[in-house]
Amino acid sequence: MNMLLEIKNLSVSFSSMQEKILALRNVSFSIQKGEIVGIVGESGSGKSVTALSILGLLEKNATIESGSIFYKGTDLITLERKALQSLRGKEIGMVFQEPMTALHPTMRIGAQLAEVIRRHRRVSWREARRLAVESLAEVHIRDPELVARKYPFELSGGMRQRVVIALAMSSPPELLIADEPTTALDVTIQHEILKLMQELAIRRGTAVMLITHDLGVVSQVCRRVVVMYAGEVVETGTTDEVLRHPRHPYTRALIGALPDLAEPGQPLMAIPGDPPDLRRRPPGCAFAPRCSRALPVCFEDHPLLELAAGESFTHYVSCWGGKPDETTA
Amino acid sequence: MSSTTTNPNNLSTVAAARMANPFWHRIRRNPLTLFGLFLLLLIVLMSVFAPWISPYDPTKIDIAGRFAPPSAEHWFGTDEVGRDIFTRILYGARLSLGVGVAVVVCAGLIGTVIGAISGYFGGKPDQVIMRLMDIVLAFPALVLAMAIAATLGPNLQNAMIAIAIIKIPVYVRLARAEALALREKLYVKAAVTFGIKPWRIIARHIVPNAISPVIIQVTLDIGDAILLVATLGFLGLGAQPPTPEWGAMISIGWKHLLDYWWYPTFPGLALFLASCGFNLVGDGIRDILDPRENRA
Repeated sequence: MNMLLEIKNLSVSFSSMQEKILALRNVSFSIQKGEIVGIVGESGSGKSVTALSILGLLEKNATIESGSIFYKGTDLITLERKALQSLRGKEIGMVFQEPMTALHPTMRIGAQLAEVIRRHRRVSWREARRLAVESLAEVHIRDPELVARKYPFELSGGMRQRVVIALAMSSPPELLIADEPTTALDVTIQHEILKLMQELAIRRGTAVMLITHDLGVVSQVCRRVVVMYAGEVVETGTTDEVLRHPRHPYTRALIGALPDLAEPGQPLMAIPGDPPDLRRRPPGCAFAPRCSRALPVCFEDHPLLELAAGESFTHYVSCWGGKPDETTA
Repeated sequence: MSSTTTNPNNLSTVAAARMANPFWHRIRRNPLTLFGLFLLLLIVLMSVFAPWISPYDPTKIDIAGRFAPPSAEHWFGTDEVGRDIFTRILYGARLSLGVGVAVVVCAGLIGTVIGAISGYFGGKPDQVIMRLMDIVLAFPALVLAMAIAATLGPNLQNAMIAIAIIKIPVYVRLARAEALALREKLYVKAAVTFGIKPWRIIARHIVPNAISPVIIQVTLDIGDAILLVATLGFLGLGAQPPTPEWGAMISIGWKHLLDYWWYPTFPGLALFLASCGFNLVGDGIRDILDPRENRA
């Protein structure tokens, strides 16, 4: 099998003062080679924590309670620090949400790229510089020679994000983790950046873990989706399955809140209530208090992530089923 | 009239000058800093061109001409063995300035590196380093410098080491505070995700971005270091005679203050002007580099 990353039952907790907060609970999903997978969920649903766990960059107050993160068959959690360090940037790259602050402010673009290139490849400074300019050209920056000599503050947001992608792709990695890479950009640039990432992923066979809260972004580029809520995976499947036939009420609500899909003239359907307080997790389904179709069992027992009813073998959902849909099934 | 009215043409040249060199433009508007700069320039030039300015040898003894009062021949008079005091002050400036700058720059560099390491890694090493620095800071600076210099043995080199040691904690704290803030910056975290090794992150990302408060502190500390060198010299713990060192000159001279006032007075004046110059320039640089104190 072409499994690149496989996360199994990952639970991560943060301890602050006396309290212990379970930020991730039994998270399981996988990414195959060259595949673009979207991780969707609102703020605090554990998307970024998952990404940081993979890179081994969780804050000191975080502990991995259980589970494993297999990357090409080796468990990253038990991997020693040095080995993980050389894996970062070389095999697993990361693109951040804020291109404005993700670049060193007093280093020229070319020098930053060259430094990262030299970290993972044994080349001379001169060769690294040449490769740096080349990698800028690859992210479709016009006049890469000129841009390499510039400082980050001289570039626009979209340009910077291209530079950040060039940095992350320089090795080139087998897995690119993009943490809301287009959130800070305006819509037209967003589209360009997404196209760029998709193109690079296809050309180089890089798998992309695209963290976003924008289902529109997911529908544009992702092959599969993982929907997270309150630190748990609530639904996963191919983009088509999840977006066209959502099984989990949360996914349905998310889709209902999308402006693109709403009926013109109808108000957007916001999800009532707030995400649960992770310090006091309900014993049952985390979404139950906000769910319009919750049954008594939803408040008492936690549902498992199981194969959704249908012909698919890829569509999983964690839901008791709920009351029958009042509207259309 | 026409010269006082600002015409648009004039304004644009001022603006252009400002764009070309904002640093110089701001110094120019601060008369005290300008005065300090002038003092320093004067002292540096005089010390550099000492052999051409004065015809005398700073260590040449002339017993017959001892304690000569200031005159056209000996501008600042002569000392107890007939050496020309003006000449000795000129050569002493070389030593004081050189030592002052060298000590503070060394302390600044060492302190920055220690502070950056301490702040970046945090945890136990940080605790150990900071408590060690607290110990050094707990003592009055001069007393500790005297103790270290006396323990190592009285000579100029040991005096320099002593002053560097008491100066280091300030830089460690400054650099650590910056490192703590920089550690949380996204570009530093990004560098970690690109697999850059910690020591390289410290060298390329932390130190260069933590250096500006250190530079300000260095310029402020040079004057203080010159005073400390002179103080240790005065106490016999620094440069030893016959080296022309201001503190040592004052130390011998002050016994003769009532009879031969010029002997301790001129070295003292030189010391005052030098540390004054450094402090004025240091204050000026701080004002210029500190964006929070941007006054209209």
